[in-house]
Amino acid sequence: MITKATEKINNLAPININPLTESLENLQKLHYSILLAIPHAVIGLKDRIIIFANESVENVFGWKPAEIVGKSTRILYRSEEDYEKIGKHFYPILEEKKTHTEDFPCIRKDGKEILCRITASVIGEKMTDKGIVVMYEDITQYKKVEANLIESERKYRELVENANSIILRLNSKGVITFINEFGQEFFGYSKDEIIGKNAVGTIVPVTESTGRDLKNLIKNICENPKAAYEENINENMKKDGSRIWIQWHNKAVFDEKGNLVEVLSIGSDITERIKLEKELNKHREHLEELVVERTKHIERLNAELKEANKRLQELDRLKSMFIASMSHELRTPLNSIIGFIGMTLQGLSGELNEEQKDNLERAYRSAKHLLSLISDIIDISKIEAGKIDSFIEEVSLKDTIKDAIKVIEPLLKDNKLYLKFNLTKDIKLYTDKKRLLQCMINLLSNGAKYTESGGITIKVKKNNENINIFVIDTGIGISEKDMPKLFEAFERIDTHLRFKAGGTGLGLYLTRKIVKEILKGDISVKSKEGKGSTFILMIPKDLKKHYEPTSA
Amino acid sequence: MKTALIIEDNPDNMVLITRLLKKHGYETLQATSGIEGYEIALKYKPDFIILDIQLPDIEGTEVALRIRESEISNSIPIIAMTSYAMAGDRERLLAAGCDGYIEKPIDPERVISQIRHIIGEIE
Repeated sequence: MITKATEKINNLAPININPLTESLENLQKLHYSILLAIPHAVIGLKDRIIIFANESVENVFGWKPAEIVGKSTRILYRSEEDYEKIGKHFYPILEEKKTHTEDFPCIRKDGKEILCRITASVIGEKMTDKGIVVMYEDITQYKKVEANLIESERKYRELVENANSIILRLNSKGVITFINEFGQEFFGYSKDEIIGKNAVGTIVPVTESTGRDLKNLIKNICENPKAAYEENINENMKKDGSRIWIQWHNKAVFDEKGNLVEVLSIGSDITERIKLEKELNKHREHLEELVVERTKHIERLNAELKEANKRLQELDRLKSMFIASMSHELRTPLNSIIGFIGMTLQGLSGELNEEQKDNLERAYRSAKHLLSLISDIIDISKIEAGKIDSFIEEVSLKDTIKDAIKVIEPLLKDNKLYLKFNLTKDIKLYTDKKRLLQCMINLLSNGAKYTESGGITIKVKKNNENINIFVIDTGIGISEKDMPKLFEAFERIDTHLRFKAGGTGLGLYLTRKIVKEILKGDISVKSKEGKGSTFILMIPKDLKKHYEPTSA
Repeated sequence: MKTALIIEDNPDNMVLITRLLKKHGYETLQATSGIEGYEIALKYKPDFIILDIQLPDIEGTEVALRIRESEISNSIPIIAMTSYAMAGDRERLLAAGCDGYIEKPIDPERVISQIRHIIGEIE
């Protein structure tokens, strides 16, 4: 490479001024100006001794011109060896060609090494006494940049050539202008075979195996490179005819006027991925089928279960009905037993001796017990079969509680228990009086049966919606262990009072059923063993509200 | 001496009520079906009627209605006997013209006073 400065020097030889007509002074001025204008070091030599130096010597080498004039050029080189080498190399060439340029390392006054482009020319027509002019251009920086550029170019070239992707350049007509080594190897074409060929018909098949026409693919990409074809997947073809799927990323390159110059495409082989996706889809479809099948199966089971449940409910209802009617039938003969024994015990059929009377009394008690068992079972079965409707009427709470007290009075007397009930103002309820009475009798008789001393207190509290009736006894209480089975059927608490208390074992079970299902209230209990019990009966003030929506 | 008509299909119950009433000084007439009971009521005009509700031919309430329809018998007190009343039974019985009802099973110690109460012999 020849710099402009070198050209200037070269052009000096056939200098376009006439030395015969110009004054010597003018010529000197001209030479001086030329030397000053050159940004590179220029020196004149005779027998390798510097006979003149321009001002730029200081820029390039750090020496002032005056410091080096008269000295050997040895001071401009790194070593004796270099000095000898360049001398032996340059002078023969100059002898022959008069001028020569070469890059050679030099050294500055401060010892810093620089790379110079050295251009030497013979002074005059023929070289005598090794008289030459030498120009040193510091190209250290330029070389560094050049080296960087070369390195960077090499790196990118390697990147492109060795990338594990196909890199392709197509011109606007779809002709392949570049394909990297990986791409060549991938498609099976050599560079010469593929460069200059149209992509369609070589690496792009005319028709995809799916049937898609690819004739216009490149044309389409060129026409609409941005939105539609920044990324596209299509089938490609190798030289041997085998088909592969490639995902392409396309980048359009435009000229200053905005015309498409070329398309840069980077492609990855996704054949395996597509194959896997297809398999995955197949599996997914299979799975979906399986799920649908299973869902159907579950639905079928569900329907069967529903049907079975319905049948069960119906069976349960029938069972309850059966128990209710059976109990009815049981009661008819029991009527006779109780009736006739009772009549006889009253002495209506003649005097009885003590033993006869005792015998009949025992039979009478057992028959009555059996009757109450049957009555409870009938009630429970009817509730379970949904056969009991409530009869709602206006009820005086005070009267109802008093009625219940009347029923258990004999029991209170026997056990010498007190009963406290003081309701200053009566409360009117709309409820099923008979069922409320039944529950109150049950709770009070329980209290009386399980209290040995002290008595029972009845308290009433009301709020807007409900009435709470508290039946508080001073009895034996309920242990924590017994609490959970308190409201279960035939679960009777094991105490020394059990036998004396009698009862059916259905009392609280039935009471809760009545409270919850007929009176639409709830029953709860608070108790501590040995510290008495409090049963709380909570019922709505107006039962009508609870039935209206369902009957409407 | 007052006469009671007992309409009851169960023979044991019939004997029981009959004996109880007789022991307490009442005369008794017996019918084992609804139709028979209705006919006897018209024919003999008893002082009161004890009417079982579950009868083999016609319902007790139907018997009561017919007895009330006839001028001959419409003022005879009717005491219904029913097993453990179901919802609405009380209303149906009273609406059919019964003057009162006694729940079965009868309490032999109380039944006579219950009857006397209904027919107005005692308060």
